[in-house]
Amino acid sequence: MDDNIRREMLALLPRLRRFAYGLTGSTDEGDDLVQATCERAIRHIDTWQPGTRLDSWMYRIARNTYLNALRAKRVRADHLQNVDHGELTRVDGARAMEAHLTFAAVRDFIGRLPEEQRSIVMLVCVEGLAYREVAEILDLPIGTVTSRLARARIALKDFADDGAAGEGP
Amino acid sequence: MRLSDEILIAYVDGELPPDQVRDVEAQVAADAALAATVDALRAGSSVLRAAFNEPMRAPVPDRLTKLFDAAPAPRGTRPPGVG
Repeated sequence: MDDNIRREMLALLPRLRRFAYGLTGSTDEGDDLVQATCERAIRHIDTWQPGTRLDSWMYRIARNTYLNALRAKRVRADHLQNVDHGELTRVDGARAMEAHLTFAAVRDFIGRLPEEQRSIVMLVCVEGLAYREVAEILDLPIGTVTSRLARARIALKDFADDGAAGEGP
Repeated sequence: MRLSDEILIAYVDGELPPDQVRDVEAQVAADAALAATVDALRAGSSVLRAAFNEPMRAPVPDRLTKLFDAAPAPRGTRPPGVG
């Protein structure tokens, strides 16, 4: 593999890890996914079209690898079923950890979204990709991307509103 | 006409063409509820980014960076004297 491509892939690792964390809900599972993604990318680098975006190509591999793993394990897309985040949400009086808990609660919320919305929200809001790029990565019409994105964003807004309204007894 | 959620979100994401941006801005300026929704959508995005950046402060684990040390040369391009 070309040294430039290798360097570019190395530089993409932080972003891929963040996306994989968003999909899987944990750093360990996310890193497993990134590893599988990179192995596939290295093995199939000759199918990447030079001049196209390497990041989009790798996000796509990551998402497909994730979906394949989900199917193989026959687990529900809701990865949080095996993770107890209740502990975190029960202690939200602790001022010192407030910011941390808020982040955990937000990640928890993303983990509960249907996968079809979760991927889109991660790619748009966290990875900062344009709608058109996301539509290409996920093989979806742009209208499907915008409507799923809207559902997730409005749900997030409602979640935040409820959180704010729920402060104090 | 009431702006759809899709349009407001596309506005927040910088995905609208300039003429539509002007239209949305005019409506948002005239409607406190719309302005609050726009603020909430922006806040949602920035909290999301922060929430997923937070666990990424730790360095990338070696097992991932090492994948690129070990990337095998494509067949037929081994350096001379190997194999």
